[in-house]
Amino acid sequence: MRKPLLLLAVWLASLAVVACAGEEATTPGTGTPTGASGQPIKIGLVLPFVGVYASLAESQANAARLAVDEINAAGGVLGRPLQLIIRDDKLQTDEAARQAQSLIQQERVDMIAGTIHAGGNLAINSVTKAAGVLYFATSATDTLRKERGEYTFHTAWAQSAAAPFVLDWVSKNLGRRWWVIYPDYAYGHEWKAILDRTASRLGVTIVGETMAPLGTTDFSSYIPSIARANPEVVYVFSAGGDMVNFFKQATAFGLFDADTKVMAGITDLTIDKSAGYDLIANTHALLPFYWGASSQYPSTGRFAQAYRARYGVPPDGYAAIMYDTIKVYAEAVKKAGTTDPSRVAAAVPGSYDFTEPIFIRQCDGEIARTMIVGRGNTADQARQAGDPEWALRQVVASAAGAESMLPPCGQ
Amino acid sequence: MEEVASQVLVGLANGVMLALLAAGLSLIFGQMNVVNFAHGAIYALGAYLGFLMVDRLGVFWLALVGAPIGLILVGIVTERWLLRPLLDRTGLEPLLMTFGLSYVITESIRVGFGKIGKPVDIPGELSGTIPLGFMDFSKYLAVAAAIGVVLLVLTWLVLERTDLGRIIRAVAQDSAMSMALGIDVIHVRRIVFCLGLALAALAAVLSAPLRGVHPDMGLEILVTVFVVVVVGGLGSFGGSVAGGLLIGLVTSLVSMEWPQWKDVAIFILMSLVLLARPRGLLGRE
Repeated sequence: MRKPLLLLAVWLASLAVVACAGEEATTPGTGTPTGASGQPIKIGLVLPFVGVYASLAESQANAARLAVDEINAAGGVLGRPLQLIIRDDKLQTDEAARQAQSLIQQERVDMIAGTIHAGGNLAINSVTKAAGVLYFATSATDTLRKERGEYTFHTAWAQSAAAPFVLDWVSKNLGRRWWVIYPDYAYGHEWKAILDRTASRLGVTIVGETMAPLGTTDFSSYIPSIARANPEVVYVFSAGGDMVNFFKQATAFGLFDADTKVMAGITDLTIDKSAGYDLIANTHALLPFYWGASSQYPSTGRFAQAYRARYGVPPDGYAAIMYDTIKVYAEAVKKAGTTDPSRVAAAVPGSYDFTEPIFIRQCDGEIARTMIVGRGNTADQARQAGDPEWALRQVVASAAGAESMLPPCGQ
Repeated sequence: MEEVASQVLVGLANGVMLALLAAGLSLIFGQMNVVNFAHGAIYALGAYLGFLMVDRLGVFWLALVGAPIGLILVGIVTERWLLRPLLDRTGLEPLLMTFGLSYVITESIRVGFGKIGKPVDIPGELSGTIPLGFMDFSKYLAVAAAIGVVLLVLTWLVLERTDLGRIIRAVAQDSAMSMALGIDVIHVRRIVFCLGLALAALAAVLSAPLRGVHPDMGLEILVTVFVVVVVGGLGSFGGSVAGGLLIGLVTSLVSMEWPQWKDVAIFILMSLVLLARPRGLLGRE
């Protein structure tokens, strides 16, 4: 019996190692600050290093390290270096609140940024609101706006800001008979509400719609109905892996062979990468950031180059959001001349261009990010574009982030 | 009518994949009296083995042979060192072992292959569709389902028509008596355990080109497979096949009109079956 016990111990040890791999937590920041002295300005990051968004959390942590090191190399802010303190919320709402609390009480951070799930955003927001600490929420959500504290800002995209540009573009360029696939949770329902309001004004006919449960891996049973309705556009709001699966199955059933065009509600580099060229070729998608849009936006090229030089891969949209967040905060502290939260918060709103043009407004701390429509490349097109591995899309339309994109204040 | 026909075809094709997985789970339970909670993770492991072979060798069909062989090796090790020492104990130890194993496998996949899924291409000769008049059916899914049916029939033939099958059924019925009659029960259990894993690998490789592979795929599908074996009858091969086809069919038909309800529908079906036949449709009394 001894040997099996030994083996079990090895298994358990490996389990422990795996569990610890999730614990990115509490590494105090990045390399030693150069060119800046004095008390560091502390930035707390709360991110989900476990679960479905773990890869996005890593992108955001990497982007934050890059931004902090760049700022410190240039002399810091007000002569003080920035220091990062990164915590893992394990994709759990209460853990996000606990980590935020601990960052404020134990580490006395000047600002908190993160996390990548809406529940966690709300939880951190309520903690920072009570403590009077600045908070930058870095995930795509429309729900924070009603709850935000006066020092809360949102630096990821919200669908209400993206909708007017992208819906108009799709109706004019891809077709006006749509079949829409929504994921069956808040995000999908918000898009459905937007489409129900605007379809007739855009001249769009919704010939059918599917409310697919979140985490649907098998879309094949929806496909016969879609094929019979023969829409011009299949508009897929399902996220990430769900969307990739839909693309695969729709392609296998020949849904996209005819005159049916595909529009992806939102995509990002990691999603496209996991889908591969065969699936994304000729699909269209909304991207809140695309690393290859450097000819449209020079700042994108600068950021992508710096990020890639350090991490070996181009940045995804979530990396851009976090990089913007840190740089915007540093600018605001510089402008305010202090880390006092009320004066920094007053200095945050305005236009910035660190990864692409963005605008943050005063009334509700919401952001208008640049919106890009990208067409999927084939493997050959990517080779011709000079980057067979990462030139996944080409920009066919874009709108720089500006105040006019945002819905009226208080709506 | 045409609409229903297309949904039925799609549903049956998907049901075959579920049946392959459920049959393995059910066979293992019949022999070892262990609900193999690691079956989902094993399925994911098979899918990743398949992905690896397609990625390195570029030939999909080799993965269909290689992945099951890989999992049979995993099965031999797991059965010998992790399950057999616990089987004689009463209580939950073997169950907990498979439960833990499923997390070890899933997390190992995450560490080894990353948290993002990987694409597996449909083999070139099977891309495209078969025009059926009332719908265009995926050529790949048709062939995959046909292979699945052949595998199920072969398994059934082994169980029903061979000496090995008779021994397997005898051990399932009364392992103590089988042992008394001189049957090497441990050997039979190992064979069945590995057979179950091989079926899971085949289901995984066959599904991969349509669904991709990702670390959590096993945990996701395991719930549905449990429903299949409960509906069909735990321990019954025929029940797993019937349950798989039924669940595939119900999912497909419900999603035609009420897509939000397709996941709920199978649990409602399961509740109804449990009320009418607590041991499942084809379960032994």
